[in-house]
Amino acid sequence: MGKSLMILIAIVVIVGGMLFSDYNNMVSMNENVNGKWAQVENQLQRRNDLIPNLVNTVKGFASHETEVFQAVADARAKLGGAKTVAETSEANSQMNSALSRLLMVAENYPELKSSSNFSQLQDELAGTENRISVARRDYNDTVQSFNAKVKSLPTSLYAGMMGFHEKDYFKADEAAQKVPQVKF
Amino acid sequence: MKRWLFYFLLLLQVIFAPYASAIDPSAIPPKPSAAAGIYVQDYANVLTATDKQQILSIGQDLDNKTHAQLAVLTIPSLNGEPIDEYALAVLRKWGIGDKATNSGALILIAIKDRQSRIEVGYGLEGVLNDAMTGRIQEQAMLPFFRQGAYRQGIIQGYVTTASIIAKSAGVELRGTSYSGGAQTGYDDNDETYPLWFKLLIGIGILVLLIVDNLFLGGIITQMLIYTILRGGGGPRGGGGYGGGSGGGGGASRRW
Repeated sequence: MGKSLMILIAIVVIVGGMLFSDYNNMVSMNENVNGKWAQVENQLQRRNDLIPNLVNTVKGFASHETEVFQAVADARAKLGGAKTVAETSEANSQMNSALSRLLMVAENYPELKSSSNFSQLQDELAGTENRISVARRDYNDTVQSFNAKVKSLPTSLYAGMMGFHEKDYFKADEAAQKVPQVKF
Repeated sequence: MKRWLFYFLLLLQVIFAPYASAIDPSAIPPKPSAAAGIYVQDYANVLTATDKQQILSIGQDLDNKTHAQLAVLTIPSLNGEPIDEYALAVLRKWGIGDKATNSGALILIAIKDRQSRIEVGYGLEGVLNDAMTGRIQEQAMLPFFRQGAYRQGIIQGYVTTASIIAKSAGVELRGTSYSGGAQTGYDDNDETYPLWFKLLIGIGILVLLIVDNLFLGGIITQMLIYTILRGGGGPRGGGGYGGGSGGGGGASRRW
């Protein structure tokens, strides 16, 4: 009687301990994912701040290319309104294509291309695009290990009850993700 | 008996080595040892021994005075990898820069691809912004590269970048200015502990190691040796990278 009670207590303690450590593990992985996502948002914001400068510089030389400027403005608004990871990645693809069109247009204006202001902005933009793709990759890596944890046994049995659900990847079509290469 | 704990920790460190990249890590040159010269690795064989010596001494000076690490890597070819991903993978794999401040930067030159990049760690992004790194390459490096004068371009690029970092930290580097090359009279960590104090610490460490080997199976000794060999952890004693990281700052150029 006393013995089986002891065994029961031991089982409860062991299982409880496993649950606690599993829970703590998921909490820290979850925080890790959130931290990486904050980094993505950070870099998106950085690009967002850069865009008015870039647009104004291009406008100074090519004011009549209104269609391109509108596309950039639309994408910017959409990115600003994005709430979920999926919305953000979609808006980001749109922004990428709008920006590459803007840069393509700039190719047609030799004075613009050779202005030092534009070449600086281009470096900043390329650098920011690169940072976004790095932050995206880092984020996706942490999501991958988080999802693997949430979906594997035995964690999958109770992860949902603890409030941990599979997370979205930041998808980006690789074609749009590539920064337009500028040859010098 | 407790040895397994050490190996387990070691395994964890290897598994969670802080680099994540789309590039196959084995495609990247291995992290050079402290003795091999951490500030310059010339896989493309374009530098002379004197050039390397010059870069090493400026790099060491910069590291001592600003705790920023600036490294140069030349490779024959990127083998089709994008230069920005390649440079970041090297920066992270080698851990260039201090671990806490991430103040490291890498100048990468791929000779056959005719591409270069300055990759900037998180901590130096304020000093070396993307436009600045683009301009350094355009003004100090590419004019030489276009004529095939890789040595001069690399040294010019290195000196320029190092000087910018030093200037923002408010120090001057030896061998970068031509104004007589005056010494700045900078004295590193000149310890003034009395002899008996040093002896006492020495004896203390010895006793600790003996106790460790007798009762703990030498786990502390192994940890110490591992730490020293790895060149990381603890304060850096003038060798090895600091374990810094970056997020893709910098600019690339072709010529």
